[in-house]
Amino acid sequence: MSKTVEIKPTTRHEGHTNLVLTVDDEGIVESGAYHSVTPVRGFEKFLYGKIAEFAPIAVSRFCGVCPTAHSTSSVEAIERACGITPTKDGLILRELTAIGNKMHSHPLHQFLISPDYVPKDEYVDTVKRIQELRKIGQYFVDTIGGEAIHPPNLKIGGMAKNITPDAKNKLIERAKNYLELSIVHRDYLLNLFNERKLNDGTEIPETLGYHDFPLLATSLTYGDLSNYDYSQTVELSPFEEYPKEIALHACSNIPKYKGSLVEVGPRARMVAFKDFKETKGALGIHKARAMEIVHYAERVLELLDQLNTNGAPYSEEPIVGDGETLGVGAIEAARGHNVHTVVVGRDGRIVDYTAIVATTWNIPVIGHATVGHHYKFAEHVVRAYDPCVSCATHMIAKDYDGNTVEEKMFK
Amino acid sequence: MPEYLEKEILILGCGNILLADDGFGFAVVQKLNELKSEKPILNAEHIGIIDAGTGSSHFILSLIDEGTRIKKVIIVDIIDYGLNPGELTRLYPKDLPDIPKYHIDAHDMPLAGMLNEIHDKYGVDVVVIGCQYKHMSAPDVCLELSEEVTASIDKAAEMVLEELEK
Repeated sequence: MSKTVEIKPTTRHEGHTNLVLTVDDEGIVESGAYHSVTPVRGFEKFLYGKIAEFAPIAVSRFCGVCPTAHSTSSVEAIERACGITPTKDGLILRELTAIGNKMHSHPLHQFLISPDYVPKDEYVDTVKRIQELRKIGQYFVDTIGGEAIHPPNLKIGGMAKNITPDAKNKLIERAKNYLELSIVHRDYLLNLFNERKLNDGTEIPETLGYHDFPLLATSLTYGDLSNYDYSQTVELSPFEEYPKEIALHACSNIPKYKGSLVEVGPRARMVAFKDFKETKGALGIHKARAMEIVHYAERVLELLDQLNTNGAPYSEEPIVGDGETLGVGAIEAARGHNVHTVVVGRDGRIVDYTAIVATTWNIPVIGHATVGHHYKFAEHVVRAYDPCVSCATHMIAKDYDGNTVEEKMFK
Repeated sequence: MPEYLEKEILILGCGNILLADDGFGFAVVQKLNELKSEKPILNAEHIGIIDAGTGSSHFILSLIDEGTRIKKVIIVDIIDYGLNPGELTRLYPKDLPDIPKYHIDAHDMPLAGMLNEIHDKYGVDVVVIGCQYKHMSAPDVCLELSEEVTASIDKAAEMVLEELEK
């Protein structure tokens, strides 16, 4: 006899979600539905008719956690819609800001999972290291982005300002600190995850969180559209994925790429660009995230080396579109492939705007990934994905033929 | 350490500009930036003025720990204390609702708990310049403040300046 286990709400991540599991007599999960219940706010629709320059500012207010990732995807999308080529140094500065955001965000997630994995007597040292890493990450966002939370320097065509040679030297010094500290932190975490145990001694099943869906990532550190074909993306209604009674409450679309659900985020990136294959599932994601922070520090040092502090920070091409060209901006946010699309009119105003944010891709995968193990492990699968749900809520959906699903379905 | 954590006094304009009166904190930050030419204290090295949006718990308050140089945090935000719309009041840690930290999830880390913590643990003075809101549009988007709240922007900026002189 199947029983239902509901976890409402799930905790230690961002946003509001529920996890509904059917389990057998031994408590083994037979099916899992993970869905967002954060109310839809309609941010995209309200951008229609606004001046394009307003979009990166507005999208940075989607959520208090990833303002940088959204502004970056937004400026990238608008540039493509308007045929603007950002300057070389502007792009370097932008990538540095985007990586700074991840240098802060990954350790923050590691703080959120510390109560599960880190032994009590090592807790204080671990959290202190995490705080140091977060501060350096924020130093990058603050110094290059121009402000700590919603970086105002992120600009269509590049960045509003270059940095001084003095600031560059300070950043190099901080990046070196980060590199050292992140190696210590990575090695510590990898040891911990290799033990495959929670800190209360519970052994974690080796195949926890395994699934057969493909992975999708466009770059290790920034975003590369040559690895992503937007025309192969469809967004479906939650009714396509969940049983009706759950779909009625689900507030996010179900995006598919090349006909399949996909996992995005650290593991997808590490598999595609660093040949990381030895661990799959929940612990694979944790390990990939731990390894990435070191690669961020390495990349930041490379970029700072390439940066010309006298180079033009932005291109002055006009921000106007043709009312037809769909601009796609795909950035690897901390949680994965973050896609914004826009059409800009000849008057510089937004005709169409959509966002498929990183966690939207992962939400349906997470439910499936809980199958096959005892339900007590399900929360660890959820948390491994570092879900950040607020900005993932959407309600415009199309069926396989591209027709908009009737609105009454959502009422 | 990011520069803003090296300051002695932080002024944080909190709230979301997309949700009507919740944009009050941002409006006051803008006003303070405009006042910089006539009020030199706002340019002082030891003072940071930040448009904190909805990110202050993630990007600022949770980064304050025992080594902090911050002595005072001035929060500007809307409140719901049953006052007349636009009415301003000063709140101190003892006046804030006693919400347990991490009660819901990391996204909704209630500010009150964190403000109490940085006050009790690290001796940071905390004052909230609160403005009773009239219209909070969530989940709908609205880019305008109500008339009553707009009328309180200048006064709130003055109250921040008074706090700087204390």
